[in-house]
Amino acid sequence: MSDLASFDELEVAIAQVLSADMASFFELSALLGLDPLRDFAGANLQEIDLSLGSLSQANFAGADLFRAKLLRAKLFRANLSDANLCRANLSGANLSGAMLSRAMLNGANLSGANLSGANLKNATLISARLAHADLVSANLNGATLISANLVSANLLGANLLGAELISANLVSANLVSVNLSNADLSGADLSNVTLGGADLSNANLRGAILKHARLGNNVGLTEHRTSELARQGAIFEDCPGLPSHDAVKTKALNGETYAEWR
Amino acid sequence: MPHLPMPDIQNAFPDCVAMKLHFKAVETGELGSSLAEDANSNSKACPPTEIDLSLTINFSGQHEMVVPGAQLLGIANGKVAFGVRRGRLQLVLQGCRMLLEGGAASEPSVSNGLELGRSSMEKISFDGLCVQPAGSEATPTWIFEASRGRPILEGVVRRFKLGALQPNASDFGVKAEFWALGEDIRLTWEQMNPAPNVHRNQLAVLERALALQYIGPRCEAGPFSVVSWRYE
Repeated sequence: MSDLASFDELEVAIAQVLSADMASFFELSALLGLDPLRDFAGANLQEIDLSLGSLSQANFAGADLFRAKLLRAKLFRANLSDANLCRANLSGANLSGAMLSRAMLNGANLSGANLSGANLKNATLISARLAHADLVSANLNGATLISANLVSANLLGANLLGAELISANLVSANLVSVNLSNADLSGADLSNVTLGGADLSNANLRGAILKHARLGNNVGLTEHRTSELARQGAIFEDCPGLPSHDAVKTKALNGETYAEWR
Repeated sequence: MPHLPMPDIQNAFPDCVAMKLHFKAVETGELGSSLAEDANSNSKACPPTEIDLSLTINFSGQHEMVVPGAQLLGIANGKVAFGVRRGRLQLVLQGCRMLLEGGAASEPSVSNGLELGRSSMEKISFDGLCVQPAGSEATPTWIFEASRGRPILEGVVRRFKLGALQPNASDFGVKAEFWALGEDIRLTWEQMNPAPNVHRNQLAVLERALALQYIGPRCEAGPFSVVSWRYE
């Protein structure tokens, strides 16, 4: 929207906004003739409150959403590429299929958020809170997850190629069929994780805690590395029931979630 | 010493974007600068075969404009300050072609020490901003963008080498234009003191409306900055 508004017209609309007895982003936008789903790419939205908002497929690419409140917001397939979401509260938000490539999410609260199929390529999530988040088939290629909290997160079939997970907390996370090749998991806590079918080629697991971590059918593990990981506490078992990468991909392409087909 | 025509410089929003160009003959020495006071020679020497072209550009978020609603927001002088988070520098060439900087054997050419690295046509990072070469040798273009986490373009890039002009006519020149869109305008609230009782959601939509519906269309009517230079 870039229609030229006259001084007087806009002054009247602004007066209406300032006297409005509500703070709804949608209603305020309407008073000014703005489309909340299209007109805020690159905008300054620091500390805005969009909790519970229906923002599916909204374009917030490059927007500054620092410390924004987005609790349980519906951001299905929204474009948040290059957005600044540092310290934003996105707990319980639906970000399924959202574009978050290169987004900054340092210190963001994504607890219980649905990020299945989301594209988080090269995103930074340092110290982000992702406990119980649904990251099934998410693309985290090259993402930075240093010191992130991923306790009980579901990362089934996620792509973590080259991701930095240094000192991340992955206790009880589902890492079945995850691509962790070239990922850095040094110092990460992988206690009780399920890593069946995961690709661990060139993954750095130095100093990682693997107590009761369940591995099997893994790619990229030599005998020597297997025994090293066993010494770190990992349990190796046959996992015939674990889905392969191809199966996960097929299911994801069909729009099914892990919960629907396991 | 060749005759050095003075360039024409027009900065429509100088407290937001201001630029100048520098010209230097590769073989015959210093041809001139857009700011140089060396256009007093009337003797026309052989035209140069190649001219290095570099840019100095200054960004800030200090430009002020009277806007509707400012008084209602408690801003005493009725003016808001703004900057841009992204913009496009485009060259229009006349009677010459341009070899773009960044090919083999290119050297960093920024004299203020800000440049962090440069190779081929990759994005070039400075302190607080980055530059992405785009376009082609026929329509050279550079996209300037604030670095991640920075709200607007701020700072000075000095003598950033754009490339080399190669004349193919005796009468040649270049016109550089810097454009920005309304969607890339950001108000710089730290310069102002809006009424404290305004809800953050109200302020966010007001800022966007002012950028898209008032400031933007007025800024988009022409380039933010133009430098025209002609060798005759």
